[in-house]
Amino acid sequence: MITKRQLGFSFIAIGVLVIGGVLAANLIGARDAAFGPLQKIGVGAGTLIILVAIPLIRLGNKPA
Amino acid sequence: MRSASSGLSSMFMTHSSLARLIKLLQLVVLAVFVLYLVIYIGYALSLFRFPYDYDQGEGFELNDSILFSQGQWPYRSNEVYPFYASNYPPLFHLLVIPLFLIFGQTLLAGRVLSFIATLLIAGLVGWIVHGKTRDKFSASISGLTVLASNYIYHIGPLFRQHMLMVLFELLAVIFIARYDDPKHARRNIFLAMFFLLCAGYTKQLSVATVVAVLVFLFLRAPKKSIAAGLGLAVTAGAIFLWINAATDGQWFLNTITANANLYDYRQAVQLYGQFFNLHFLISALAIGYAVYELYWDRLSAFSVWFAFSIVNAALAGKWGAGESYFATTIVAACILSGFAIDKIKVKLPQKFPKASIAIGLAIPLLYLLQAWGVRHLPTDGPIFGSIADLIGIGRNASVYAGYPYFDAVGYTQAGHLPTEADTQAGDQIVSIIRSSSKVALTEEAMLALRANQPVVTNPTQLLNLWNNHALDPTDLIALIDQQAFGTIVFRAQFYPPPMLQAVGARYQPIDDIMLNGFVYHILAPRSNYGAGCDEARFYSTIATLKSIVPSTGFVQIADRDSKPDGWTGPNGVSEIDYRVGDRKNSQLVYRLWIGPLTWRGQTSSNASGATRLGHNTCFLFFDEVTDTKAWPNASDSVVKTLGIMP
Repeated sequence: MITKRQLGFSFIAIGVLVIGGVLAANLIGARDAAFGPLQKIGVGAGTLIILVAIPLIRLGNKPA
Repeated sequence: MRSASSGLSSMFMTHSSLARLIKLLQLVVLAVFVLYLVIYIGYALSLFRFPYDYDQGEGFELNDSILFSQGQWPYRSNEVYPFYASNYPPLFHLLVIPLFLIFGQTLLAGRVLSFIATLLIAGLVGWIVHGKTRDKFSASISGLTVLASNYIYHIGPLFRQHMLMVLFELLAVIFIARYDDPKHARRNIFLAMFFLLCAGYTKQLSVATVVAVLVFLFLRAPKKSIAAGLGLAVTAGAIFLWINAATDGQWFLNTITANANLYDYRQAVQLYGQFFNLHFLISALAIGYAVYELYWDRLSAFSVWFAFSIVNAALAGKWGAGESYFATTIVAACILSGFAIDKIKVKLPQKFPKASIAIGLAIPLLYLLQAWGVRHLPTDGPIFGSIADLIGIGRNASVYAGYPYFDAVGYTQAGHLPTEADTQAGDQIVSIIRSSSKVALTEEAMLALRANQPVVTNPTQLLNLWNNHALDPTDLIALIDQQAFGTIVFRAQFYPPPMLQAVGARYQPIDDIMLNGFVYHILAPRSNYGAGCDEARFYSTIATLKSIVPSTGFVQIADRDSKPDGWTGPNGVSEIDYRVGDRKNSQLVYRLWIGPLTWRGQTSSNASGATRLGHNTCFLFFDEVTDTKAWPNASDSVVKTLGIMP
């Protein structure tokens, strides 16, 4: 059984991966492309996932 | 005392009257949603009578079922006649085959199957909500909302596999939600995996539900999730490899490569906006309920499913995708909204007793607003015309090509009722096709099938593969150059550009026929097209080259803007290579350059590199042999076959 805290940490990992992926793709994949709306959506989604995760971590060992 | 008693009595009566009012409101809401069901059934019956493509892909899906019924795979090379392949998994097409016994090999078979799937989905949604809440209103309204959704209404009775996929997804989620059943835990997990397999082999989009189901199981029982996931992966993988081997790799090319289309985030954003706008209540309730479970309860399988489906709907930004990508989300949202209403009805009055009446009134009123949000109906006739007038839409109001149909979506190509005139227009095109002794090339399959002709080309499949640099249209264009097709029928012209160019060069429009709101362009062979030294002839020349090279290799266009090896001069010459081996590992044997007659260049001073072979009536030719053993006398063969003169 997975707990709320573990779920929260998973969300943070996913959020960081999303943001990291967007930034990496922008740096490596399309050097001449600007930081456009798609990248902003990606970073926004990653940030939202992290924000959602924070209260979960505080819920401790309750079952997810 | 009397006064106090009278006050109490009046208060009691007020409460009683309000309770009756709430009941009445609920009945009104249910009546409105039942009306949407009637509209849906009327639309379905109208489509059942219409024998042509209402949605462009329908005829191709029928063709897939016909091919399967003949023991043939629809996953085949798009580069050889009839240049047709399917880009969808097989299950839906296979399930249609038994219905051929009842409906014949017609669109009706698949449309009925898809329609029944939507009714089952709605019924299951109501059953799930009732099972949890024991509330008849919540259950009924949740099920009916599925069919009232504009998106489900549009695609529900089409010969498309989408709704069957959603049905399988829903069944998988229903069973996984019962993973801990005291008596049938293993059976339920097995059935969940089975229906995921069915969903995956109905349409690739269900991959998000596969992940959702396994994630839910992982949250509750990680070991079971890993075991079930492995079992599913092995089974699905084995089937995948088997089909791929049986079709010589065409399965992967046509279902995976051809589906990797261009992505436009603006299209996805626009569709998300439209989805939330139309389904504002159920999506808000579903999101609220999922958040409630996330922080204050345990996440249910339905909440996890909803979350994954709403993220997966972002794929609606792909070229060729659309509103149907939200169908799973709508079904999941209808379930969660039913749960949410019940939670609101039970919990809120406990915390705010004075608000209980207001809550009781608000719920049906909000659903009335939701019904208004998704409004869609025919706007003619004594009943619907009057309703359209009554609700302010106006009799004969139209959002599509003059058909009396209104939809809150705005302009939409689906939802209106096709007419007898549409059927007659289709019959007219079919009679034109039949009037030629040659096979027709039609952008929609039904026109060919109704003329008892083979389906030649799947346009979007060719276009997708062309855009992915995975299509050689040489043989198709060579046939166009030879005017091998008696009639060509275009609608949207979703073909690779060189093919359209070739059609323009060899065919001329003879008629435009309106069918279902679209203009169908009818083309016949052009009688006088001059020397024909154009793209069509260029590809035709390559097709001739392909016919004489040794079978141990393949011909490919290496460069469309180069010049012969070792020559100086402007670019504008095309290089065609013959290579030995397969596409992944091959060796260059022979290089042929084809240029316009007007090309001028100079060979190198030591005469190394390409040799000028000469010209024919259309092109200049140069070649270079890099492996004399692999294709002996290559130059002589080319000169003789292509009619090259010094």
